[in-house]
Amino acid sequence: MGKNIMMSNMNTGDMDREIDQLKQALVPEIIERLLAIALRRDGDFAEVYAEYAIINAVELEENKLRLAQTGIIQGVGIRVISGEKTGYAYSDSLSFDHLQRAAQTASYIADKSQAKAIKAINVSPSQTINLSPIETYPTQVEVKQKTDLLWRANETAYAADMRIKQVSASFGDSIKFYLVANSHGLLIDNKESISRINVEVVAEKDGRRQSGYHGGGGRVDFSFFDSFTPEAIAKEAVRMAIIKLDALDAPAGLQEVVLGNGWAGILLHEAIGHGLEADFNRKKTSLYSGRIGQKVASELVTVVDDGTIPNQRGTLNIDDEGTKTTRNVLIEKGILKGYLFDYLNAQLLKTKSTGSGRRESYKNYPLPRMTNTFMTAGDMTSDEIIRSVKKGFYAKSFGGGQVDISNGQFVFEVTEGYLIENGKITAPVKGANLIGLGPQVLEKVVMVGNDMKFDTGVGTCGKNGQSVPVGVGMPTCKISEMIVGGTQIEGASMTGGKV
Amino acid sequence: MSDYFSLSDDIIKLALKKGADEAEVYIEISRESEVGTRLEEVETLKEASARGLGVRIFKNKRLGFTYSSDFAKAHLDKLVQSAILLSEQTSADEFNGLPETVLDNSIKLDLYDSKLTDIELSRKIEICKLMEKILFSCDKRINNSEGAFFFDGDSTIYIANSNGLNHSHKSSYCYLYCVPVARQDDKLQSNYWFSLKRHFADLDKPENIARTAAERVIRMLGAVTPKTARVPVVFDPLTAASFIGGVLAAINGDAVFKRSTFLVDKLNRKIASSEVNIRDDGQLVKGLASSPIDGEGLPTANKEIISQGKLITYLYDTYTARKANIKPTANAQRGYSSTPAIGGFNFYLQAGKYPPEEIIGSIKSGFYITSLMGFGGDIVTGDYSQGAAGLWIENGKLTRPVEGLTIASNMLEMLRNIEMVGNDLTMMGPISAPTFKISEMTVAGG
Repeated sequence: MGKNIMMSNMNTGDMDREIDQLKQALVPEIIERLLAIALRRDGDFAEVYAEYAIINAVELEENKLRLAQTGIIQGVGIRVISGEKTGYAYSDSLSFDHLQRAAQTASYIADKSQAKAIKAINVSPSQTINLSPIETYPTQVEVKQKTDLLWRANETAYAADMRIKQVSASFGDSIKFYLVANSHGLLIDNKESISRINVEVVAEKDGRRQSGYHGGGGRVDFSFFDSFTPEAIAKEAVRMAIIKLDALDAPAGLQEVVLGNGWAGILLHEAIGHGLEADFNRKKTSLYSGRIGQKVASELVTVVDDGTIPNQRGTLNIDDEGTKTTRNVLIEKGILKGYLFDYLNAQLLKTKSTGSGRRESYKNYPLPRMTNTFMTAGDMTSDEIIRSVKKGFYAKSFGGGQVDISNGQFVFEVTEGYLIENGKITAPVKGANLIGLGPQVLEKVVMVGNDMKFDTGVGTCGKNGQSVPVGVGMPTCKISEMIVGGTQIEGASMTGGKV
Repeated sequence: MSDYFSLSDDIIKLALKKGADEAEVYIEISRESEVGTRLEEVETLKEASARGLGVRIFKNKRLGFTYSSDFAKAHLDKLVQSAILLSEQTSADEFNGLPETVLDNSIKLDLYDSKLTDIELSRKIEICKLMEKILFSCDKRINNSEGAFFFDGDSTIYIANSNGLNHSHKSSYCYLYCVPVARQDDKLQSNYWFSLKRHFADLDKPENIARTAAERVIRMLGAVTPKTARVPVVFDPLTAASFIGGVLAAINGDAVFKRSTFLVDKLNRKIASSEVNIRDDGQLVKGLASSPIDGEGLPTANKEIISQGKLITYLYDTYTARKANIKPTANAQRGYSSTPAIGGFNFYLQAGKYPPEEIIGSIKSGFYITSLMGFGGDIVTGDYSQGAAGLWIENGKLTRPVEGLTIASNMLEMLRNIEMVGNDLTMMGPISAPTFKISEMTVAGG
């Protein structure tokens, strides 16, 4: 879970002017010339991706508004595909000379040594449908309105409990404009806004310290923070820190585990999502390669990746290759249904892109990635699920996770956990990780709640050094057994010693 | 080069004219190249250069910061204006401001390989293909690959401020990397090995990188998950470095001030076993994290962090050092798109006296860790829980592969329980460590 904050404050008048300049540097005739140059060595496909982004952040720490910052990112990336090969070059200058050089550099991936005559390419503009309409962009509002949110969070957190010794709050927002054109004639542009508030507190009692975190946002209007208030966020962060102050050490070993709804969807993201990204499957390096139509999870499990849900953090009007995002059923009642495709991998596997080609910025070529990944709701209440557990572990909130695509091992961090004893949630425990093997854990999903919910908008996913915002969602759900990585061992265990 | 100094000078002058009390410009010009092969065929080629500029100003002890990749004059003027406006939104803080010291520019660290850009693309492709060829020849169970890569690049930093600082230096890197995938009984394992250096001539031989990667993937085939136990644990150099990275985060002077680290109130106290000696060295010749200056222009140093288990210093930048009323340790780190934050340079656990075989040989039943997963180190509490895989030690020998385990303890307890430190330190990256043994940890399994 990336908590690094971004910020800036340019007004949108400036932004519209800058976007106009970018569009003027890349009028259709220029794009057509660049694409033609890029294909001179007989590449199969060429693409121009131009980006302009404003990134803002404000940070409050130790009762001081420490930082207000604004940044601009602008550049053009040019990609050429030849068979399975990708050539990529970028420029942060919009001058034709620089762009032409980038197109030439990218063209070298196609290994025909003789430059050919330029083929004519025609691009025609198409329209983007805006899935997350916004009236007031967070990037557009006065800095003071954002710093006010932070001061409110700060005040609430300190007032909430005497044991709170530190409060840090930050607000980050950005608007990213991008234009994608390719040798199939596509020319499309898109504007995506994203924002997020974070509150982190440290509580101290008898020399013991614990931190608590809460935050969220999405592709939302600034008014979103009228209902997702800094007060509520601060109170939640305080609640987590205070509970952990008296938490027991986590149990170790196999347990019956109940996952809370929301951010627990990171389990799906790690346990199966990455393994279904088409690049790994084309290369046959994922344990899910070649398993479409097979049972890979319990029949209670249906997993969807949907880039079209209004205002969610992982939502996109179009992906970074200009393809409309879609709702993709990955697993239906336990049966593997599909992978997530970008253009390159779809082409090579003779299918269509699922609108999953994403990149961090113009400096990167796209990869198949997730958007908003979630498990659909079942029919049990969370109470019924908890009551069914005699002795087990309730994982309510989570931190970050990681997966090994090839062997399927994944791990994620529990930031708020409890023991379950005789059907009741009892003592809080701290410092646990859950670890498992993707298909095994999904096979052991034995109860699914009716309370499917998305996370609050805090997820950032990293792959091959590229970070993109994602959403996850999950109903409360019970896993019959899973390894909890705590320190406390019960009953018999083997111990080692020195020779 | 002088162009960027005069550009910086213009920006600083403009900032002062517009009302800033202090101003700093940080410029980064970088080049990157990527060559990737898969199954001995070229798969990716990438080549590009980029630049960016950050403007940090203080006005009435308030901070404003802006950055951009657009160097057009009109745009830069706006960037300065915007930084000053932003400063009006932040709180006055008596400790805010630029460092006063001006750099002694004489130090030569040999961070730039001028011959790196002469290496032909065809040679890079050959090297990648060779790594994969060796991988596949090592063992027939290695029948796939995520690829072999040759990354290289360089960056030139210019930093100038209104206290008279004018510094520039250039550094380069090259990185070889390969990722074999092996199959046995329908189960896949992948692993990797790499070499990262400032100079091309210093890179490990591609053959050796590939052989190490092959050995690492093959030995994990057939891995099982053993039962939960409390046993001695050995960290190999790669996972040892990851743990030492946690120590680095915990001695951050800013976190210390906020009491949000488990190492608060521990200065000059024994926090680790006497086997533990850690240094932070900004001036290691050809060092992967060396730099003549820190992110604010202060000369870097080679300093003791932990000596025979005793914590000697926290790490500070200018702001936190003023707050703590001590000399800065020159540990500001940054890129053009961020304000300085505290970090380490070449941060490493010093070599101990034990050959790794002797460390492994000292254990009857234990866990030799070769890979860690997840984000399980809580710097505030020191609680530590990570996914782990590696080899099981029986009667002093590495035996069968194990995976799907978690290791858990508290970082302070782990530091105190470091019983043996290996003599096998090599500088593999910005953070390095030799093999070490922790007397006991909880290893959770099936």
